[in-house]
Amino acid sequence: MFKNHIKIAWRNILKNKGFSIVNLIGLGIGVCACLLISLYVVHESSYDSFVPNSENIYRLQSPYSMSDFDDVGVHFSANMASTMQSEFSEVLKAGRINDVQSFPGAGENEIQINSVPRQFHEEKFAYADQEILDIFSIPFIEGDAKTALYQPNTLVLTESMAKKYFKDESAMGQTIILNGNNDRPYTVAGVMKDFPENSHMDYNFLLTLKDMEFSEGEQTRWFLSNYYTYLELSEGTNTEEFEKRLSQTMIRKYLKPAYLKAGFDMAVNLEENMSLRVQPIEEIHLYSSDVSYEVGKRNDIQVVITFAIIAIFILLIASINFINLSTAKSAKRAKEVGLRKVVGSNRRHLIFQFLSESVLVSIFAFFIGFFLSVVLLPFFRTATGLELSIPLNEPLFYLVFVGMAVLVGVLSGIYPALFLSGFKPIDAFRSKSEQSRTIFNLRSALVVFQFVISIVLIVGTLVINQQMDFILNSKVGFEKDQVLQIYGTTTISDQISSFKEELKGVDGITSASISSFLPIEGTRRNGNSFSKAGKWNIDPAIGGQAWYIDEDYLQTLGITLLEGRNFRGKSDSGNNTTIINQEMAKQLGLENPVGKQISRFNDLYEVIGVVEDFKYQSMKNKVEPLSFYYGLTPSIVSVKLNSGSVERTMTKIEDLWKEFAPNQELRYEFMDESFAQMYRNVERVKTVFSIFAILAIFIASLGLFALSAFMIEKRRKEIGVRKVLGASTASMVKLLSSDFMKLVFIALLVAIPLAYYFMNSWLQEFAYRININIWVFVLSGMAVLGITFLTVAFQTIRSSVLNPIKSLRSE
Amino acid sequence: MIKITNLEKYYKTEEVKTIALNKLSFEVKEGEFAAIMGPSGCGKSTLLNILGMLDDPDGGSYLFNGIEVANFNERKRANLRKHNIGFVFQSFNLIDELTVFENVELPLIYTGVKPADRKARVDEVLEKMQIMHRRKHFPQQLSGGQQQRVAVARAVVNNPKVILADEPTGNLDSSNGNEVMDLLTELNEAGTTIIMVTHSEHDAKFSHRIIRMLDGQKVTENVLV
Repeated sequence: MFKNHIKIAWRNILKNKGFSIVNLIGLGIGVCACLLISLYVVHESSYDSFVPNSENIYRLQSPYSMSDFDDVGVHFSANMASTMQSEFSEVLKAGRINDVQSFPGAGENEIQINSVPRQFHEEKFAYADQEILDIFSIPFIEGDAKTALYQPNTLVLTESMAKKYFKDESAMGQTIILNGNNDRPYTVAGVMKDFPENSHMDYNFLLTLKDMEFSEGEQTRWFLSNYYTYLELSEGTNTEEFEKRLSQTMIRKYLKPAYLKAGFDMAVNLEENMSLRVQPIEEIHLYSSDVSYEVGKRNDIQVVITFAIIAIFILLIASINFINLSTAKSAKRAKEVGLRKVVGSNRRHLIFQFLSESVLVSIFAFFIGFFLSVVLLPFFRTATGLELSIPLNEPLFYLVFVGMAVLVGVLSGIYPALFLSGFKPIDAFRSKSEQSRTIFNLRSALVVFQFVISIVLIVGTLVINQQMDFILNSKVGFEKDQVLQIYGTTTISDQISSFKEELKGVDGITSASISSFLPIEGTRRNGNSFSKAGKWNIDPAIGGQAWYIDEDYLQTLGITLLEGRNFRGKSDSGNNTTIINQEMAKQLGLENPVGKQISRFNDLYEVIGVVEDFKYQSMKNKVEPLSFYYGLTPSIVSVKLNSGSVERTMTKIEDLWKEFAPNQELRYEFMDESFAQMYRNVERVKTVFSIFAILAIFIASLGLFALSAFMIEKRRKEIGVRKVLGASTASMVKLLSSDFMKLVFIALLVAIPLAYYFMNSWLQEFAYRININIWVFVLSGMAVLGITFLTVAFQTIRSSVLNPIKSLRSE
Repeated sequence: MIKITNLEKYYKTEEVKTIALNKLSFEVKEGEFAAIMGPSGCGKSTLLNILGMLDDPDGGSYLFNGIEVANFNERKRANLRKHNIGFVFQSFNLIDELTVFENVELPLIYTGVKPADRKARVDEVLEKMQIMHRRKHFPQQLSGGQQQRVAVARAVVNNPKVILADEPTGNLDSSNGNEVMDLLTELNEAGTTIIMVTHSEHDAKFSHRIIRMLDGQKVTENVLV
């Protein structure tokens, strides 16, 4: 019986080639899209699940809220970890990581191996406790993971770094010097495996925190928050209850008294405004969008969910093609159904037969989809920026894959199967098996559904593209073009001023400036509290940035000084003067700021100038208060080039660099590129979204193409008669396409509000955003109408140019 | 074998009720060859559908082999049908996607015959119908006469007690038509009950008895010798 089903299914596939191709290609593309997106979704959801005992490992968080300010902090004071461990018996281990760039050694460094003078630039440095190695059970290649960070001045590096610098030699015991600091050489005490791609932590070098104190009292002051704090809790800890006790004890007993003692009077209400939470490490990657000031490749669960929904929709669209085409060609199968019933088949047999057919088609399509995915995977890797791979070694993958193939086959075949098997044999033999109205309506509803998804995706693609263009081209308040950032200049910090002066003398360079603070994410930031002069600790303070710049900064970056004066040079060093942005003036309520004083913590500064607000962080955030101080922060030198030959100027810069740092390669980036980098993630979402939107529309059109072919096939006689009676081809096209056009209009009515709602909520993420323009909808509607019309018109013209006698004779 | 009493069937549209069978009664004995004749629209095909349990009557009684089947549901009817009744149609009604062999095999599959037995039985019937050499062909590759022989082979492969034939020669030329009539006669002589609807006086003469119908009622019954 089953063999017979397979046989007839196979012959049916061969016999209805057009139908089968549409089904196989449509479903195949759908499966490919779905598989690729699933790889992405699985990858994104798998973060940190590889850590042994991951279910008991947490990162400490503190949600903090004040009148109009909500934030989730993940940095804590140095003594938090040890105090928690002694206070709470369920805290089995507590460890800290410090990767805050302003701590020398954390973040990026120029390194020297043993005593060789040659400098190399390396990134991903962090300070860590031995407990971090223990909590995360970080696997070691060399050395003892239990003691590697136990001695002062030791470090652990990754396998790939060990290979890079020590080749086949053992890395153990070798010396690494950071930024030419010969007073504190580090000894390699272990080689760990590289962090997997799906790890929220990503470091190449872990420097020990043993005996470290970065400044006086830094290890014991409760209000200096620079450490990620990780905890291993005992099995079965009730985290909710634990968090309650944690917040009560830590805030009441330690934080509040310490804050008050340090003069932070706002801490009176600390218990109401702040709490402590533990976040499971597996949630860090996708559920940290409310955390600001966190470096790392975090994703948002919303993005992942959106992609998962798109994947399901694409598969749905392809399955709908299957359902629609199967029921549309039902008339052709009716005779067979009748016959089978006459010779003894019952309905169960027939349902089983039709399901076997659809499952067979589905399995084929899944294979096509699989091979397509293999071919397209490299492109998808580029688009997502992730090293995704199909888990061919996992038996579970095959099980799920085949299971999905059967499921899709059954789900898309069940309706046609029930419908076809329900034919009564005597009805089936009457040459015209009447299509009941409900079938037509269901099919129309499914087509409308496909159109709705397509329109929403088109609108989405247009809006995302517009928003991206807006961000990349909108006025940011500074000049990012023709600006070169030279990194790693910390190593020449004693000669950095003369390096800058010489740069200014180079032909083709307009100006140069020394500052580690740039309006580009990833450069230095800090958090400070400000208030009006004399109002410190009386009014609630405002949060803002305090950047150290030189006298050439504003000119180099093209930042507009609205009133007052620029820094004059060294004379402004230490004289308590500041230049503020408009937002700072506004939030402090300063009418004519120049000449007024402001408090930064307890110190008073005189405002000497006001700059126009410029967007110094991602446009997802509003411009926040910012103040400039004169000072040297020597890790980045920015250079403004004039429009002359960039190449020649670059050569000169390189020559100059060699004079100052003969052992270190010049490392630079153009600012417009770094700026674009800030939006790489959005850019990727845009690319992936666009690709899948186009796919969805393509599959839907494919289905429409085949469906209209069937509908017109059924009306061939009508077309013949009308032609004989003198109808023109144009009037036939109008007649036949109007049915489908009506469906598109209905779909537009449903899709426009939906698309508006979704895209509007997506745009809310951006502080600076476009308004959704009416023409986006007009364009999307026109596109779908156009595609539909062309598809149907092609079929109609094809059948109406046939000699009408032919179609009449064939009846 | 078959006994119908006061059988009624209506077709209703929104406004008109058409009577297809009007209190029709007759009996066909086991081993008989009966022909049903009458003008188009007299209810012949409706009658054959009810006799073949493809349709149910609106009134009256239908005893098949002594069992009342008028009120049987679809499943019971299908079950009784596949073991007892074979059909031959005017337009052959073979499944285009299946070969000759597979078409004939189909009823055996649905009655659960084992594959080896099926092959033997199908070969035997194809041999008898003299289309063994065409067993791997598809219906479109055969002439009308050959197709109808395949249809007859399919109708008899299960050894049904009754064969219902609806204008079996209607689409055939006279020589092919005669061949098919000879086949039916042979089957009848071997003991199969045959009820045939036909327009053709020529074909009717192959039967034992002609039942003539008009407007859903029996008009005359001629017994032929």
